[in-house]
Amino acid sequence: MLAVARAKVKLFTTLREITGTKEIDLAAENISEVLGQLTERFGKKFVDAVYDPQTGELRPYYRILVNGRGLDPKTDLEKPLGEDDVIAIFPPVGGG
Amino acid sequence: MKYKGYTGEYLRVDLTRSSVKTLPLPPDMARHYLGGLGFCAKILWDEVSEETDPLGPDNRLIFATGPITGAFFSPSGRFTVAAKSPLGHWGEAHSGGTWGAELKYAGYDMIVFQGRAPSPVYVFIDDEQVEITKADHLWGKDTSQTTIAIREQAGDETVKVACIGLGGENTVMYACIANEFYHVSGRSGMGAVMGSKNLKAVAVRGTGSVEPYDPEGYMEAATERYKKVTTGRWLEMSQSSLGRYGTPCLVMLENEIGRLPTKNHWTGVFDEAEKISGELIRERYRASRGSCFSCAIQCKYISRIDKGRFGATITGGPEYESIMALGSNCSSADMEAIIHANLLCNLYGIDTISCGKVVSFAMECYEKGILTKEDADGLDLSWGNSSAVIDLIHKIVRREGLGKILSEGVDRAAQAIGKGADRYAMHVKGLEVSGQDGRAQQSVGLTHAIAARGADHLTALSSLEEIGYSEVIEDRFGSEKLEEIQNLLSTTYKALIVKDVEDLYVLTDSLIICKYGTMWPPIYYFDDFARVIPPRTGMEEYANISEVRLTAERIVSLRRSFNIREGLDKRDDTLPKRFLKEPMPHGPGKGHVCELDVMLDEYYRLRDWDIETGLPTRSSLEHVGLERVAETLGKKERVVA
Repeated sequence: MLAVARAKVKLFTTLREITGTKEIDLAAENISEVLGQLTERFGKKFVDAVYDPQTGELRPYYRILVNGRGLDPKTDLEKPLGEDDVIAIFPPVGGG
Repeated sequence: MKYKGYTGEYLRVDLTRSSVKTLPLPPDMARHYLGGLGFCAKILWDEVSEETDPLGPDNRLIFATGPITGAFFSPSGRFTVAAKSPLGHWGEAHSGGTWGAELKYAGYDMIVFQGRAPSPVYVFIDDEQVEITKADHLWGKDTSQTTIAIREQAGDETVKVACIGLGGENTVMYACIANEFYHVSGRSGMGAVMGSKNLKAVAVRGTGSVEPYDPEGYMEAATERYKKVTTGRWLEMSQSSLGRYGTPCLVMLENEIGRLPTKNHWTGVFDEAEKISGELIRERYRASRGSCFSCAIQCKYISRIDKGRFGATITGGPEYESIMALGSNCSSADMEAIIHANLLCNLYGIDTISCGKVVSFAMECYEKGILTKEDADGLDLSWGNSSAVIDLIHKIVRREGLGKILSEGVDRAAQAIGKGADRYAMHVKGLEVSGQDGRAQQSVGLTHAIAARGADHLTALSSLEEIGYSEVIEDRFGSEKLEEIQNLLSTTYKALIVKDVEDLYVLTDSLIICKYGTMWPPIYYFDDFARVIPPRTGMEEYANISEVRLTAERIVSLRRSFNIREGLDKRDDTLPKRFLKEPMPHGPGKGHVCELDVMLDEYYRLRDWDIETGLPTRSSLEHVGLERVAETLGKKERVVA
C-alpha cells in the first residue's frame, strides 16, 4: 500500500480563474489522486477545463510539474508522491 | 519580377546625398534568400565589411519584409531590421505591428539606408512618392510624440511610423526602433545605427496590394494553416493562454522550472514572482487585448495604471522579457514600477532586456562594493530599489553620470569600471543575456552561446522541452529521443534540437512569420513552409522540404560567415562564467552549471563546422551554394578545408 503524502498544489492562469484558487494543501498518494480530489472539489468546471471530453484524458499540453520537474501524463500519474512535494499545474502557456 | 508574392522593387536611400532610388528586386536573391533576414544577410555580406564603422555612414540599415508579410497568413505582421551592430558584429531585430505590411502595400519589399544625413531627417513613403524631409522639429521627441507629430503633419492618423527616441539619437548601444507606439525592433542596437545616420523616422502609407502566384492555391494553404492555429489541440494554447495573458503567463512557469533570471542571473527562482506574474497583471492592470497585422493569436495587450505614483501610465505590454529584466533580475517585485519602466524604455527607444541587464549589473557591482553611492551619482542601487531602476533609465538615455557608462552596455561598462566588474557582466558577444538560464535548461545555454547577434533567445530557443510538447518531440525527432530531450538538465540531443530550431527560425524570420505559431505553440514546421511558399511565390522548388531546409542552412551559414569575417569564432560562442562555473543555487536546476562544451562540439558537427575553431568548413559553404563566400573567407584564412 502506498503512503499518503502531504502536498501543495499550485494552479495557474485559467485554472485560477475557474477555481478561484491559487494553492491548495492536500494529502494524496499520487497525481491521479490529486486530480481526483481537485475534481471532487471543483466539479464540472474543473473537469471541463482539464479533461478532453472525447478521450477522458488530460487535455494536450497541460503541464504538471512536481518540484519543478515535468511529469509525463502518459506514464507518471501513478508514481508515488513524496512528503511536501509541490505540484504545479499549468494550462498550456507559451511565449518568450 | 519573375516571382510573385513580392512587390518586385526596393528602395535604396542614400542619406548623405539625399537621394532615393527605386530598384528592381533581384530574382536570384528572392530565390536563394526568400526575404527578411535572408535579404539582410545577403546585403550585409555584400556591402559591409570588417572595416565598416557600425556608427559610420558606410554601415547599411535595412528594413526588410518577406513574401508572406501582409499576405493574409496568421501571424504574418512582422518585419526585420538589420545592420552591423554597434557591438561590431552581426545585428538584427524583429518587430510585429503593422509597419511591415504597410511597406509592402506601398510597393516595396525592402529599404536599404546608407550614408548619413547632415542634419536630422525622416523619410515619408506614400506609395510611389518617397521624400526625405527635415526632422529638426522631431529631434528630442519621444517615440509616441514623433509618431503623432508625423501623422498630424500628414493629416492621416493611419500612417505607420517606425522611429527612434532619445536612446537612438544619443546612440545608446542598445537603442531600439519603435513602431505603432509599442512594437519594437528591440535587440542589438538598431536604433543606435539609425540615430547615427540622423534618421529619426520612416513613415509609410501604402494603398496597393501584392499578388500571389496561385491565388486559390495560396488561400487554400493559408486557410489550412489558419485552421491549425484556431481549432483543435492548439486552440486553447493560442487563445486561453497567449490571448488572455500574453507572454507574462510565462513568469510563473519559468519560476517553477527554476530559470526566471533573478538578481543579475545569480539564481533562477524569485521568491516574489507572484507579484510580477501574468495572473496579477490580468487581475489589476490589463486594459485590453492587442494584435499585430493578420494574427489570430493576438498575444499583445495594453496595461494601465490609473492612480498612485505611476498613475496615468498606459503602455503596450510589458512582455515576459521586460518583466524579467526590469523586475526579477533587479530583484524588484514592484509591478507598477516595472510597467512604468517599460513605458519609459518604449518612449526613449531602448531595449528593455539590455536596459534591465545593465541596471542589474550596476546593482550587483554596488552590492559587491565595486560601485559606490558616489559612483552612482547618489543613487541607492540596492537590490529591489525600483526607483533607482527608473532613475537610471533617465540617466542612460541622456548619457549622464553613471548612465553614460551604462549606455555602452555591460561589456564595455565593465571594462570602464574595472575592479573585477566583468565577473558580473552577463553578456555573450557583448549583448546582454535574455530571460533564460542554461543551468536550468541546458539547451538554452547553447542557444545563447551560438546566437549571431549575442545572447539571444529568438535565434534558437526550443520550447519543446521547456513547455513539454512531447508529441511534437516524438514527431520531429523520434520517440526514442523523447526522454532525453524532455529532460531540461540533460545535454543529450540538445544540439540537435537547437540546430533544428535555428534553421526553422531563419525561415520564420525570412518569410516572415511570427514565432508565436512556429514555436509557441510549435504549430508550423518545414512542411508547412513547403506547402505555402510555392503558391505564394511560384518557386516550385520549395515544394521539396529538402530545398526549404537547404535555404535555411544557407542563411544561417551566411550570417555566421559575416561574423567570421569580423573576426569572431569559437572563442565568442561562449557564456558568462556565472553559467559555466557557478552552480545554480536554487530550484530544480540547483547544483548544475551549463555544460556548454559538449553541446557546442555536437552543434558544430551537425553544421559541419570546425570543432576546434568554430570556423565553417569549405564543404559546408559549398553545400549551400556559398562558394564565393568560401573563397573570400579562404583568402583571410577564415575557412577550414
